[in-house]
Amino acid sequence: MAKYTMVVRSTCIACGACNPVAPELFEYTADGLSYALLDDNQGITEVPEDLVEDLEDAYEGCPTNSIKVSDQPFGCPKFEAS
Amino acid sequence: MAYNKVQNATTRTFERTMPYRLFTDPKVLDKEMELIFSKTWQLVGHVSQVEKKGAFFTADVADNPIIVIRGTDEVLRAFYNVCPHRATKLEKSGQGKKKILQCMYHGWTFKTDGSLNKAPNFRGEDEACVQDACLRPVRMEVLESLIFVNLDDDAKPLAESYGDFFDRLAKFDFLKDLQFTHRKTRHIKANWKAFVENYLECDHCHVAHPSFIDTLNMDDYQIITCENYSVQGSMVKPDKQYGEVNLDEAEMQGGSFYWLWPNLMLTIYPGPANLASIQLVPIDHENTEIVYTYYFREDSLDKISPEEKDLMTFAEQVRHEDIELVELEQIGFRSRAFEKGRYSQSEQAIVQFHEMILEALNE
Repeated sequence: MAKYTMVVRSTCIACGACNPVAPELFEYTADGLSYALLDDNQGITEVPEDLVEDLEDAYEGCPTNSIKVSDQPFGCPKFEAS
Repeated sequence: MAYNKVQNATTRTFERTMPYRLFTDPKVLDKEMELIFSKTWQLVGHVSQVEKKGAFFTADVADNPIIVIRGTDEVLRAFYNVCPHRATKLEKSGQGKKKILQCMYHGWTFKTDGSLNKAPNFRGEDEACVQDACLRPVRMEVLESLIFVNLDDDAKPLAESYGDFFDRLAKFDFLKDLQFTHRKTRHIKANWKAFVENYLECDHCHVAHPSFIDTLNMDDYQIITCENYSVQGSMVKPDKQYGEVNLDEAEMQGGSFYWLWPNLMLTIYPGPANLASIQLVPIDHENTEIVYTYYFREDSLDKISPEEKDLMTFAEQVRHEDIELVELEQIGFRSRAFEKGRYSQSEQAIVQFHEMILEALNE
């Protein structure tokens, strides 16, 4: 099943946990806050299948649940963030 | 009936054992934690548990949480499992695989080499204040695939701490093929030293372990006391078997049972290639957790052979028979009946153990 991801930057604490486990999915801005790399944090680009495991590790490791994962592109009417 | 021959390395003998109050006084355990467990090499695991990058396991040594982790650079390291910010225990699980370690209190993250990755509540100019806030390393050494740590930064290296023990162990070629297979724990109502004493002599084997003396040649059973360790054992009797296993054809034809100061036993039983460790972890002065770990060629219990299962059953039977004995002993230690016990000539390994305890505690 397709996966989409984005970071809620208002709750991100810049702990640096996500990039080491998913370097191709998450990067930090100058202030240390995380964003999804694939589409500049819009959450509309499907996560490549070979990165889904990294995505799950990052999602589980985020201490503030700021990483959101969905089966639908974010912003869609059917969106339900997990 | 022949009791064990002892090659004795200690020149001191005592008419009476060390006092029983050392088994019943809660303050003694506090001293032991400080003067013995915090200054000796403690077995924490096996390299087969941490082969992959990021693989880790946690342990407790003298009430100190420890984490052993193979870094993303493939180097194996040990740290206190404690965050430098507020001393929160860092990793809660017993084992796993991580690319980054994170404190669940304020979200601090650490790389697998122990260096600080990010401290979220120290930003901007404050960030420089915590640049050196790394995980505190613990001395760790690996010999024969066994991972030991020592909380004492000034302790002698592991190989030098136990005379020729590791040379002796290295003679078992099969050790390099073994993996961590299974661990189980058992709570006993006895002081940890009571169990060590029980292990260090085999006079009681004739009374308490019928299957053991039926299998091993007790006429040739030897106990040898060495530098900070002792070894005992003998060959199997002819035509003996565990379950369906004919021991005449087994890879190991003898049993070797080692004790390493202060609280570790390593056993190699007759049968297929095997190693087991028994560690005594004090819960309090009258309660102990015994940690039994088996190492076979397989990495999990459901893969072991029928021969290895039979070996485990044999070892478990002997261990079970010992538990009741040491729990009964603890009841007697607590009583007003006697202050000290007596040694037989074949209990010199206990003399060695008591001598080391008394010296370590400055008694």
